[in-house]
Amino acid sequence: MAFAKVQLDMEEKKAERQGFLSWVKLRPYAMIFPAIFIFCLFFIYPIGYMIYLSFHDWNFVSPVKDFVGTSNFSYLLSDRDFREVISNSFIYTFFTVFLTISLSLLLALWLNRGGTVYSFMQASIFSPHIISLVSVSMLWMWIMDADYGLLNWFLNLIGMESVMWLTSPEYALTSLILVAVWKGIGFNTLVFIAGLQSIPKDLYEAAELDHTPPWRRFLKITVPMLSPTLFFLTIIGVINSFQVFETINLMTAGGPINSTNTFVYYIYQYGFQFFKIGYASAAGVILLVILSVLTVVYFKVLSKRVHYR
Amino acid sequence: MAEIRLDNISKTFNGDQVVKNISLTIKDGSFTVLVGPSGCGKSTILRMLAGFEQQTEGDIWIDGKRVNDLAPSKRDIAMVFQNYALYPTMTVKGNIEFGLANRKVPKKERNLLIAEIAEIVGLSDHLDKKPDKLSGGQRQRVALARAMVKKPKVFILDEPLSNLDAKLRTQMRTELIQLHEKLGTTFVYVTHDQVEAMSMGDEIIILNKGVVQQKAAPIDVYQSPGNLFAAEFIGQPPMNVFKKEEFHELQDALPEAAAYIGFRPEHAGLALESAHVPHTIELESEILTLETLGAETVYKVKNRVGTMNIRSFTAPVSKRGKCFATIPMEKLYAFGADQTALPALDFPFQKEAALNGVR
Repeated sequence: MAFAKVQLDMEEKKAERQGFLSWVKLRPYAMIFPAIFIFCLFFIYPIGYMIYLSFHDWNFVSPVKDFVGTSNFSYLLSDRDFREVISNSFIYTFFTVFLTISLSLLLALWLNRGGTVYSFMQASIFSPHIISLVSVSMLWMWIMDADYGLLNWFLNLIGMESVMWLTSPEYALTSLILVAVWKGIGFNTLVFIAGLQSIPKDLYEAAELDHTPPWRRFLKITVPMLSPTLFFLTIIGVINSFQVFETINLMTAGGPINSTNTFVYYIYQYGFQFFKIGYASAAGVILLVILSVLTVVYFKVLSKRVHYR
Repeated sequence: MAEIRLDNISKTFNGDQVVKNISLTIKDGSFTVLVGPSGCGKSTILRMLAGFEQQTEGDIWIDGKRVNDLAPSKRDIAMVFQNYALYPTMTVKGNIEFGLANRKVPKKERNLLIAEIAEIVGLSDHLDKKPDKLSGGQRQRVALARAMVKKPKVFILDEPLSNLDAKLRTQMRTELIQLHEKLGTTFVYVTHDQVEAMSMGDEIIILNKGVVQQKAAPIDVYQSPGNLFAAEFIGQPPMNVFKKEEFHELQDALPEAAAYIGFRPEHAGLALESAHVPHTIELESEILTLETLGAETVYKVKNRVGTMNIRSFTAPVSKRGKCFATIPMEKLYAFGADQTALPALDFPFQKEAALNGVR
């Protein structure tokens, strides 16, 4: 009798557990809900809303959002300024990422050793990374000032002519790239040094016994072993460079003659200076597409060559 | 093919002398094993030989050439590292080929060499794989192939078997011995495992605290250990060693200089009943533990002399408890107060036996 009762109890519990809204089943979803909710609210919804706005004409205050189809996009693509913005962004990104990565790799190779001098150098090179971009911009505006700047003073000292660093269309973008490289090099060097230190020493000893010349040792051992670091820094660098804003806003305001206007500054101008939200949103959509495509391409093409341990 | 000579080699790290004034000659074509506990300086000697460390004092000669200031690549040696140090981004073929390509060996010749070596180490089917797709034993072979393909004068092996499982280790041990016979090159092999040292080397160099304890053939190290350290390091379990005073029945027969008396566990016997065999020491003992290993049994017993190991090949004594340990006197070793071995003990009965033609 007692046995039958126990069995009955168990069956009841089983039935309870199999109920439609059982806590066991719901628990994982309940646990993950806050994260999903925040992600949707702050990522998915704004992206969706941006895409929605890119098909409308809106000035921020008007209660009416006029549907205009794809005319924002067609206008954007026929705009000479916007084409310049795209080319500026690509030039800026390519040179910033290329220079930052190659220079910081060289610095890392040089600084990757013990000793007080090298630790001091590492710390010095890293310090620009912790300075806010606004301060960095102000600092470099002063250094690059055409009349009173440190750079021109130095150029004059060694008998060269002054350069209009920020005020001539030929040099302004180069100057901004210079600032970005200066700011980014410290972080990249530090990450490279960490990467270099994780390469086993005996690989280099084996290479030594294999008569490996230094450049071949660099190309065949150091670079392949650093490939995950290189890959990571390249992606981060490309995404950051495409989104450059602060230095441009403060140092050149996209000028002179649109020569330093890049994506995010262009979006900012149309959105918050000209109040053409639909138009700015369309540019944002294009930026999103470009960054997504670049990231996918990186993963597809480069990840095959990356060696993960 | 090369003879290696170390002349008064010392190495000091931060004021700590890890290799102390070592002089030795490694014969051309020999399989020499440097063995000792961790921290004895064996790896440091190896790295100085390879040129990765500069000796603080002394000269290193390889094949009659002083190599003190020669870069590792110029010493014509090949090394197998403990964790193989294979280039993880290259295929097996790439790993073997790398050194050849660096020395600008023509492609055709390279391919012939690789095919030949891969055949020898049994890697022909794996040439296009990356090291992380290989098993431990296969990686070991790649490391060997990479070393062999350079046809060096000297092979240096730094604990190459320590990352393998027991079964594979035994197998690779045999393969390395065969490889050495086939190549005839000088092998210098470092290990902390005395079984590896005994089974592979044709000469063993026992090191402790940066000093050579003994350099001899394996059987000589076993039969006549040079000092207490060598006696206790070689042998499984190690030699039983006691102070001379513990064996009061021998006091008169032992030389004046003797301070320690030792015997090998396999030379002692174990019986349940006292037999009073002449010229043996019989000790009433108690069995503490026994390890049954199949062919043999290792007993740990306690008696008035102390705790000792006895290795027996006869059927195991089934019950623990009282027993009699017997130690034949002619198998005793004597060591001086400075722990060096004394000449073989000379008991009167041995002379009698010799006179009577009994051995």
